[in-house]
Amino acid sequence: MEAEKELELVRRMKKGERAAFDELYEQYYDRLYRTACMITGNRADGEDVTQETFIKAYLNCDKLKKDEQFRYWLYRILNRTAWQVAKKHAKERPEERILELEDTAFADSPAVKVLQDEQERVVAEAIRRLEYRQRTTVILYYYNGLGTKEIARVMECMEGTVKSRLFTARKNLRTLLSEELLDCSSDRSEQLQNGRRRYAE
Amino acid sequence: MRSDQLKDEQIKNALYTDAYSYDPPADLKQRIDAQIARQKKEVIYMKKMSVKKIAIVAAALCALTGTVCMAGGKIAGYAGGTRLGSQTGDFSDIGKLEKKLGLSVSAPESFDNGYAFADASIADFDAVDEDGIKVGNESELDIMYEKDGKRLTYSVKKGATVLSDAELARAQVIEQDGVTYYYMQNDYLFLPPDEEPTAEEEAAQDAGTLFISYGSDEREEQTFYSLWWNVDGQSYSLLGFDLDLSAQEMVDMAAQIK
Repeated sequence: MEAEKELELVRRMKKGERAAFDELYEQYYDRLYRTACMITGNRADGEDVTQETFIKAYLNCDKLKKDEQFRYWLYRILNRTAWQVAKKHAKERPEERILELEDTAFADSPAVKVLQDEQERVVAEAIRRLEYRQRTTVILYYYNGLGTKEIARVMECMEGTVKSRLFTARKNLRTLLSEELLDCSSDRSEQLQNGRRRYAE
Repeated sequence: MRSDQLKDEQIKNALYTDAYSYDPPADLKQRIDAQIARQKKEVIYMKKMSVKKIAIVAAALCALTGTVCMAGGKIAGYAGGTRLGSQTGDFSDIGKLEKKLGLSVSAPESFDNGYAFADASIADFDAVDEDGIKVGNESELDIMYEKDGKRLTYSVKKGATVLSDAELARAQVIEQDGVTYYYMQNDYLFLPPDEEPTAEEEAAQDAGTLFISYGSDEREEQTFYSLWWNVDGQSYSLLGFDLDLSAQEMVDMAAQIK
């Protein structure tokens, strides 16, 4: 969506126009939902976080100071909401969480059948095992395509902290992943990209 | 391709594949719309009322958290507000309000401890299920009393109030003149929508000793006092914040309602 059109929709939503919110929802729900599922590590929490994020955004849109920063504001709400969920789950027994993750990930999407790959599963599992802030930084950087400055705005921290989290996350991933995985050739990567392109088409 | 580039590519590929495994549910927007409709109604309602009154009603609603079956659905919460045009500052109008609701409230003009009639109104509530879908409705007559700036609500509605096990565990039960009274003191924290509770407050909430409610203009901490009883198919309650009334003092007030 063009920045100008999004800005206009945000202004209309702030005036109480529901259709504008609906359009913004259409623009963001898919990516936000998938992001929330990956940050929380499971579908049920991902749904709750996405739902809460849009509800908070709609009901509190008058508090958004810079309309042109709607996207980052939305991600910030998502991050805060997901953080609350993560804190709640931190109190649970870790074994239960791991079982739940294994149970819910890679479940029913037809896309999975095409794209599922042992190497990526191992990497994804390692990302899930990262500490919350490192995991979120990695997801926002690699999946959502946000830069370190933008992530700092979303996660309400210094840009240097984001860079440090990315560095530590990569280091931790390297430790978590097997040597075999790191030696995988780029052929597999290209194969997957082709598969994804076919699926998208 | 350098090894560090390969690593970045691997991370990216893994995340994209992982993301594709999560398909958004078809009814997500419907659920969001239902929740917005419910919460918007509450916000509008709150804007119409004073902070004290909001707090009292919000707390009264929060007290009714026990799962109740009505019109075929499980009730997870209530949303609503004062019926337009029903508010009156004339004590003699209470009879008309009773007639509208088919209730008998036997309200005194004042209590022995000095609480005196201030105003009365009808409140209508929609009962909503966990998805925010309306599954029923109910109305109650709320009579406000005042003393030294403190406001106490005497509330009556049709049907019995059934407290949840958690509420019963916190309640002090008093039997007097053949009536069972349930007395509770609950700590409430009201927060603006964008403010987060502290770790200590969250721990207190998890332990069931603090109720956190969102939607107020400013952060506010108060203790909610309530006394509940059921007689002849009607539910009665005396409610208020920071009343500093003991269980026996509130039961003595209830005894003056004849």
